[in-house]
Amino acid sequence: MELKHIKNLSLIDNYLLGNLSEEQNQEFLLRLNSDEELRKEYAFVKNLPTALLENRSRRLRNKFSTWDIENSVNGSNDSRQLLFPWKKYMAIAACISLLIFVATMVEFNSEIDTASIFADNFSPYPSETVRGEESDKGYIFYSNRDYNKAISAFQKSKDESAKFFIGNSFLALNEPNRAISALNSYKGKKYKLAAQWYLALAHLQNNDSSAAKAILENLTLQKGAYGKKAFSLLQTI
Amino acid sequence: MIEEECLKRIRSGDETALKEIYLQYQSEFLIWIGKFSGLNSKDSIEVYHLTMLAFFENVKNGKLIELRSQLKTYIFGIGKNKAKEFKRLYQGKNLSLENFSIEFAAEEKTTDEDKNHMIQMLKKGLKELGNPCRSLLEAFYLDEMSMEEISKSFDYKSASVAKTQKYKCIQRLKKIVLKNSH
Repeated sequence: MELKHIKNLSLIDNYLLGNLSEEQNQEFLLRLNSDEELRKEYAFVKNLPTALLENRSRRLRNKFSTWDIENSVNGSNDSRQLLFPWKKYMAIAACISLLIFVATMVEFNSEIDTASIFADNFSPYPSETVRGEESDKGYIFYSNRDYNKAISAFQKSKDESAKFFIGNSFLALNEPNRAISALNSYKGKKYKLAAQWYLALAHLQNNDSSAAKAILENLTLQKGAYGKKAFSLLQTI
Repeated sequence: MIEEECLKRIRSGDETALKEIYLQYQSEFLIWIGKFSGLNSKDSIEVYHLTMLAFFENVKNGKLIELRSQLKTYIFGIGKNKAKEFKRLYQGKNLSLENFSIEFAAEEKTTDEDKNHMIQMLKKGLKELGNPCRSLLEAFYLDEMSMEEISKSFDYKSASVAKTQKYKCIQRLKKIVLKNSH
C-alpha cells in the first residue's frame, strides 16, 4: 500500500516538475480521471510548491527586517558610509518605517501564532568543533541532526556546554518542556545569552508568549546580536 | 570569482553569504532606487526586499548559476523591474504587501477560493511541520535538487532513504493539515 503511495507521489512529482514526456503526460491526465486515490494525492501535492515558496518568502522577509534593524542599530564604519554621509539618517528613517511596517503586518496577520513565530526563528545553534574529547560524540550526532543520539551522548558528558546543546536538541525534537528544563540548568558563561534566546524560543514553542516576552525584554538590554534579535522578535509577538 | 563563490554558498544554504550581499548593496540600492523611481524610503525598502527575494530564488533554483555581468548590475537590474512593477500595482493603493509575490508565484495567481484556502492550510501546516521536513520539501520542490543531492545534503544514507523520508514528510504534513481543518 505504502509502495503504491510512493509510486503515485513520484509520478505526481515528475508531472509537476515537467519531467514527463508528452505521452506520459497524457497517460497521467487520463489516470487522474479514473484513479481517485491519485486524484486526491494530486489535489494535495499540486499546491505544495506555491505554499513552500510563500512560506520561504515570509521567513526571508522577516530575516531582511532583522538585518535592516541590526544594520541601522550598528551604524557602519565602512567606506560606503563616507560616500553617503546621509545614510545614517536614511537608516534611522528606514528603521522607523520598518517598525511601522512590522506593526502593520502584525495587524494584517492577526492569525500569527507562537508556533509559527518559533518556526520562523528557530535554527539549532551551530555545533562546537570536535576536539577529540568524550563529549565530541554528542557534537557529531548533533551536527548530523541525530538529536536523540546527541542527547544520550551529551547526558554522559560532564561539560557544562552539553546542557546547552541538550536544550537545543530538545527544541529541534519539538519537546519544549524538556528544552526549558535543560536550558534553565545551564550555568555556563560561554552560551549565557544564546541560552536565554533559545529559552525564549522554547517558551514560544510551548505557546507561552508571556514567558518568552519576559526573557526577550531582558535580552534587549544586552549589547550584541542577541539583544538585537530579541528586539526584533519582540515586534512580532 | 568571489561573487561566483558567494552564489555557490547561497545555493548550498549558507545564510551568511546572503546576508553579506544583502548588506553590501543595501544603502547604494536604496539611494539609487529612490532617485530612479521616485519611491519613498519605506517603499524603497520594500522593493529591495522583493529584489533580494527574487535574487535568492533565482540562485536557489538554478536560474542564476553564472554571472554574465557584475553581481551589482544583476541585482540592480532586478530592482529596476521590481520598482516598475511595484509602482504599477501598489503605489497609492492601500493593499497588503504580502500579496506582492515574486515573479513565478505571481504567474500562478488565481481567484479560485478552494485553491487559496488549500495554500493557506498548507502554509500553516508547513510551519508546524518544522525541520528537517520543511527544508527537505523546499530542496525538492523549490530548489529542484535530485534525491541524490538531497541525500548528501541531509546526510541520508542513500537517494532511496531520502525518497522515503520525503514521502513520510508529506504524510506528516497531510495529518497536520487534516487535524487543522477540523
